[in-house]
Amino acid sequence: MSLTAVLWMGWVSMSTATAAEELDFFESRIRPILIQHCYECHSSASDEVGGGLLLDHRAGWQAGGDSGVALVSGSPQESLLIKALKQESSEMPPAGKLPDDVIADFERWILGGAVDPRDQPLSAAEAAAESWRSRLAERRQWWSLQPPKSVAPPELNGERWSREPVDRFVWSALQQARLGPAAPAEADVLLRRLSFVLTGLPPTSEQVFAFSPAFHKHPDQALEQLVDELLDSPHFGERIARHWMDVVRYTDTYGYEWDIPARGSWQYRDYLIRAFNADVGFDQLVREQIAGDLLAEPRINVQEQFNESLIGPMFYHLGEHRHGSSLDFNGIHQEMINNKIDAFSKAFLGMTVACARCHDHKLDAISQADYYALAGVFMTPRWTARSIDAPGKHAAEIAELRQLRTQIQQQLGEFWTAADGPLSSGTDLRQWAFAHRDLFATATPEQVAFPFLKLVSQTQGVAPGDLSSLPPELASVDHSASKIWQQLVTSWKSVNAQRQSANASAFTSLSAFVKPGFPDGWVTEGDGILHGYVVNGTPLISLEGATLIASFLPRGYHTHALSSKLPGAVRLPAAAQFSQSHVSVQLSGGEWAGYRSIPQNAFLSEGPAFFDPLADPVWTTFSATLLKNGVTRVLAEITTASLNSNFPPRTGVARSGSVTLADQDEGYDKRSWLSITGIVAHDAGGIPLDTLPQFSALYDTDTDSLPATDAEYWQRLCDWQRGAIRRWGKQESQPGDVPLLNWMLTTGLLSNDASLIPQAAELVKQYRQAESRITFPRTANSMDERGVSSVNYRLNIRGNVDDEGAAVPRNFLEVFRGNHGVAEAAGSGRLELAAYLSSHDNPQTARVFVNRVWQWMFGTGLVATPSDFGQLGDRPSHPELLDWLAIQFMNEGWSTRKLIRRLALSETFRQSGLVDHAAAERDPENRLLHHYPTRRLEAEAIRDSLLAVSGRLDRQLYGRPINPPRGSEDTTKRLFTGPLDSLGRRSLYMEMSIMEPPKFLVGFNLPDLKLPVGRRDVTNVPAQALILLNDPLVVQLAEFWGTRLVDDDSPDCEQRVRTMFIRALGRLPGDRELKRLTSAVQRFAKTGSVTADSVMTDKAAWSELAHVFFNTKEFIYYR
Amino acid sequence: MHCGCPGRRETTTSRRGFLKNASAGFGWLALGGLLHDPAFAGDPQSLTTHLVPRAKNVIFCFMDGGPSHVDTFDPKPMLKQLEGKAIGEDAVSKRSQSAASRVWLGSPWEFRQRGNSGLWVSDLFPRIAEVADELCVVRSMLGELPLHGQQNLLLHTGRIVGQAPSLGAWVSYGLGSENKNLPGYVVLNNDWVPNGGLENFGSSFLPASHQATTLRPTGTPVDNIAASDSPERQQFKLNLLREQDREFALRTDDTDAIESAIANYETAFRMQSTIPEIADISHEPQHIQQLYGIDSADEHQRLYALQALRARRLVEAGVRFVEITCPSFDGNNSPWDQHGLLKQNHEKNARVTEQSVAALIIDLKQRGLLDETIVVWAGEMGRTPHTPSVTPTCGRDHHVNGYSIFMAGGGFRCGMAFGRTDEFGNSVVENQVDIHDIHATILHQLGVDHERLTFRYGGRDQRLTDVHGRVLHEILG
Repeated sequence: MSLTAVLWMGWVSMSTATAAEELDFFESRIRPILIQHCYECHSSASDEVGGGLLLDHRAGWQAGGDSGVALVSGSPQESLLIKALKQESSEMPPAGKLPDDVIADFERWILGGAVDPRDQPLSAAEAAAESWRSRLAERRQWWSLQPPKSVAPPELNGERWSREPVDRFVWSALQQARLGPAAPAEADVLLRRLSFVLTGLPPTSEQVFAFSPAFHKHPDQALEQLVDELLDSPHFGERIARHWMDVVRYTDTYGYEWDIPARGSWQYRDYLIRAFNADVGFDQLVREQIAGDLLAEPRINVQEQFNESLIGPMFYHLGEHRHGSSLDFNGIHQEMINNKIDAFSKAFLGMTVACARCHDHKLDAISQADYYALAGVFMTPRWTARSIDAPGKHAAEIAELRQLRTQIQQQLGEFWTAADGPLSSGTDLRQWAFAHRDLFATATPEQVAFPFLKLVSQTQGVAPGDLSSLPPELASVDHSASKIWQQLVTSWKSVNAQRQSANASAFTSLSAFVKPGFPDGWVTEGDGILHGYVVNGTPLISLEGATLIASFLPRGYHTHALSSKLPGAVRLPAAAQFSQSHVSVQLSGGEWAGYRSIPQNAFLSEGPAFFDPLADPVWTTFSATLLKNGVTRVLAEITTASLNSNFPPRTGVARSGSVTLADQDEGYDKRSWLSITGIVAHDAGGIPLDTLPQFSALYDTDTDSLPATDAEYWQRLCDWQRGAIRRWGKQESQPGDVPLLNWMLTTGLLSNDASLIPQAAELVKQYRQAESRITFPRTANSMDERGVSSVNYRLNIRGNVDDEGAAVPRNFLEVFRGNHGVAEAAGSGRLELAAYLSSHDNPQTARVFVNRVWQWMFGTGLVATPSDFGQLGDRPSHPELLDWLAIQFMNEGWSTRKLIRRLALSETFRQSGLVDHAAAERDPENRLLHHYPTRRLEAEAIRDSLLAVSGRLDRQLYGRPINPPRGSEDTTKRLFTGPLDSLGRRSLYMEMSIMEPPKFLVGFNLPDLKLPVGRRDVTNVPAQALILLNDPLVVQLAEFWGTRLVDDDSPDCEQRVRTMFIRALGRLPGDRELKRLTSAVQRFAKTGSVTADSVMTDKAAWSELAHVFFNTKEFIYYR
Repeated sequence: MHCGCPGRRETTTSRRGFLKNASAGFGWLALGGLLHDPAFAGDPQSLTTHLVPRAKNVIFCFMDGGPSHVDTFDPKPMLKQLEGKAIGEDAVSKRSQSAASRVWLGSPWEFRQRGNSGLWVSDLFPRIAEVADELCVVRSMLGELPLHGQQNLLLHTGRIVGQAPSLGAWVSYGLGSENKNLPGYVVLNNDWVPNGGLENFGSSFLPASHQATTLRPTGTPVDNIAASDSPERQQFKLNLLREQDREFALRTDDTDAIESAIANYETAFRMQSTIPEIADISHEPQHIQQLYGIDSADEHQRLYALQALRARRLVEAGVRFVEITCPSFDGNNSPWDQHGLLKQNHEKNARVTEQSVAALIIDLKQRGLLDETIVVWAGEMGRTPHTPSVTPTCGRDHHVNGYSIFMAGGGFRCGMAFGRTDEFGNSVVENQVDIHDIHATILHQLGVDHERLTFRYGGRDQRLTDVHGRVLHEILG
């Protein structure tokens, strides 16, 4: 009899009551354990079924696995399953032995006949879902997912340590371990420590002299004063910003093959510095970095008139962007998304969501679906550049420019209407035309000059090309004038009618800009568009040279209508929302304005196509036909250079012809412009035809009368032109007037010479002055989700980009579901996500951040893995303290400054580095904080100290990145070399290029720039000794210091050595040290063959000693 | 070989632990009296290998940009026959810059069978052809994406996104250095950064001492290696520093770190003379210099020859892994990337590199070093057997759907070709090999099991080959 039959008989032969009991036992005690601990490897959901054994239905375990039958009904002793659970044979489950009572349940179950109602194997999806649900239920119990618990600090009696709650937590943990804290640190140690921790710079000599006496008199008061002084220093913001820049993977470039500058990155760096200096609440910084473009009330920098909040989403753009579109190289795009999700979840949540790209997280409460749900949130908005100038920043200048432009038009209108000259009469015009016939020798029938050409040439019976050889006095025959006219009228009328009708049948006009505004669903950006609408004929004022106006603008939007410094972008609705399959836009632009179509939100598509500044407006077609081969979204935009998120493009990209941007050009402060004068929708190919409106006033007259004579012909041409001028003067220009006026301007029929029209010239001068007060725009890569519909991202099965599963609805992590409205949001859900993360309800944000701050202050966080609070991370050393700090932090307005102040003034922080043997023995890692650890300076602080101590430090804040010194340049990658000392600027201002970060900093563990880093490595390698011994920067700064030293007012060598100690190490030397280094400088002087008396003025000798100071270990460590 | 530390935090711990175990306060020893230097050693607990090693060192001639396989080691007469004919939809691959309308392009170079083995090598490589009997050519390499950055990172780190240590760093970590005054991994490069970034040469999560040290052909060979002081003055300073630092060490809780930093100064001091000595080839006999091509009239060839000769000297001195990059001669940092001017520039690249590569094999062999040195010749990709249209200036584009690399020495079978592409060289039809297999096989020859050389990071035991890799026993002697 087969085993199956035996089992089945056992099941059916039981009494009904027993069977029900057994069934109940299975459901309540066995099934949940199987789901939770076994399904992952032993069900149809498993990637690879462990040992060939299925435990998700009865027949599965009955059939057994590779090792044989899994269980013998009624006999737990013989069942392999029990052996495995007891870890006697194999060790199951692999994550750890189950509790004994659970194993006893299994024995009991088998003894009772192993009743199992599961007839059918689950489908893979069912098994996965069931398995995940049960695992999630367990995993959501993880400590870091619980809200911080409000715990009263332990009570102590009368100790110094009892004042500050932080200390009471630490003290009581030490007591429990039968340990005590270290003795308090000495004044000079504390000063140096605080100075580095809070500003990243060594204390100044003045601080060293002042602090120690003050501290000895009133330690608490002196310390508070010092901490406040350091917190007030602008260098505090730099210091904290640099820490946060590690967390968010700050870079100035996008790496990969071309290392394209990351637009606005440095604006984001400066934003962080300002925010930490101004103590902007961290909750606000969370909202801004996640959804700064969506805040109802953005934070405006009043002093400099820009929108701080809008800079926040630059956070997403950081990291590596590989070139090419997603369409060309599937796989790259997904890697980039992974980097975004990684940075987001580590920085704000202390969770490693990126691990769930291929499968549910092995240990944490993060499913694979969570990963793709979050991807949908982040991929919904457009990733694009935003203008961050405050609205109305240039309101005064703009108003002035508008007014001046109107005045100029009035002046010129009067002048031109009244002017003598070729337009006085037909005769004069005729004379002018013959004198200037080479100006229109090659005119085509579509051009304004064509009737001139026709008349001049055909009346003479000569070919147009021969015109220039024809003497004007020969031209006076009338007979053909009316014939020519007739031909022109007929042909224009027919062309005009044909084209009008063709246009009407093939194209739907979405806008001809009769009124300001764009069609529904179109989104615009920047003052260039805001102030860019003009009526026909609006003059574009010349910004340089001897001319007054550059051209007459046709009706529509021109970002440069007032100033070509103003930025502008026009974003089309997603192609899927086009009313017809194509949208064509009449476009022109110049100086690196352009347009691009972006499939699937490729981060760095190889656009845009740049405009040729010399070309006439061109109808450019954007097409929904790109929506194929899996492409579901195409977003197009037309931008000036400053609002192009990928500007400057990789080196060598041509604008038009062979005009390329110089490699050296970083793309800052570019004048740039674009014009949009018409929008149509259509289904067939082709573009709207030009109906030649410039001739309507000439040919489309009410009377059919033909000019009878040559003179009458010329008079009509003259009237045609004068009409346009008259209408222009009254600001009533018609569409056809614009080409006509522009032709008159270029041919000189309209005088444009400043010297001839002094009243207008004065106004133009004022215009130029007002325009020069407009500053180049601040723009940064950010996000824009106006007008876009939400995206749901398709799950990649096992992370394989070529194996797409179902679309996962946008959402935040399931473990937080029910607490936020991300899924219900109309847009991406970022605003809702930001609101939840910055609320008191989120258990992670505050706790993760206060832990980071703790690490920045003490070297190691209460959780030693600051970006991973999950199973693979560290458990908190002081869980109650962590919670207390998080709650306190939120209650105090998420103030980083208050938090840091609290920690800096604690007794815990004030400890010395003295370790007693018991502590070293029992807690070698110092997790209980029984002393303050010796810490090596970060790379930036080492370099900054060299600058500060030598006197070379330039304390200027903010600004564009400075090229680091390089061994050799690679101009095609814009890897330029800068001055050896980077102008004395602090290290955080050096260009952080992914491709080649500053070498000096890399030598001291600058982290991999494209990855979020919670805690830097500290290595100790000979290359670091070589840097400090031989790097030209170190040698140069030693010389700089030495050279300055000989001018100080020290009376003797000993005194000077003392000042060096104070400056470099923040303390006075001991007797032995003083002697050692004083005799060293004398020795240095001797080897330089200088007499003993002149040691004090021997720059070389003091430079050598400075070099020695830079190489002491004490210089790069603090304690 | 297993580090056993979960994540970064314990890196510090193990360092401390190690210093406690091994140094006994070596920081106090007199200058020049130091014999034990952990700075460049690999995992200190165990420097014994997993397997019996066949080789000790690797010299990797990196043909950056992707030399064409169908013009070097993989003859395809069909390309000539069907030159100009459209390749058709069936020949299109995402691992190749391809489109149905592109046309086949025959090789401008003749192929011949060489040596006793009859291995096919084209006339593009006359000198390499002379050592054909030493070569183990793999003609069936399959990459992941036809992009330089990704393929460079894949070739070096085993992952298209990088963020992992380079092969050289793994070898250094796994085997340590035989010379305490030299790093375990050296890249002979001229300061340019390959596509994919310096990460190609990095140590990522492995300790920083395993990252590549770059040796330049001109100027100062290694950053900061030229002493800024005379030896006497530097010694004087180091003595001062030692006294000064020792007092400081006593005032801190982390004496080990300070001691270790002091020891680094002693090592650094010695490196200042060791490295320039090795870099200086002026004492090499004339005929050896000529063999490599040091006397070439072409500046780029001279630079490459110098680096190749230095590679041999470094290996002799005990450096485990040496990589030589190609000199870039027209501002292109992928020198073999001939999208156009295939004939002209492949010939230039060949002229610059192939004599020295052949010389390296000959020289190592006559010194008895070839058996213990694996010479690897590989680009990050091959080139398309097709082109948009056949013109005098046409070229070949990116192709990772089957291309060729070779190994020589180090116990690899010689005079053989392994794997096969289709009649156009357009896809692999037999014995597909990926980079992980090559990595696994190289490690295997060095006595290292690629599945057991791991480092705990990010919550799991990381390895060079990730979850891939197969030792290619078929190509081992």
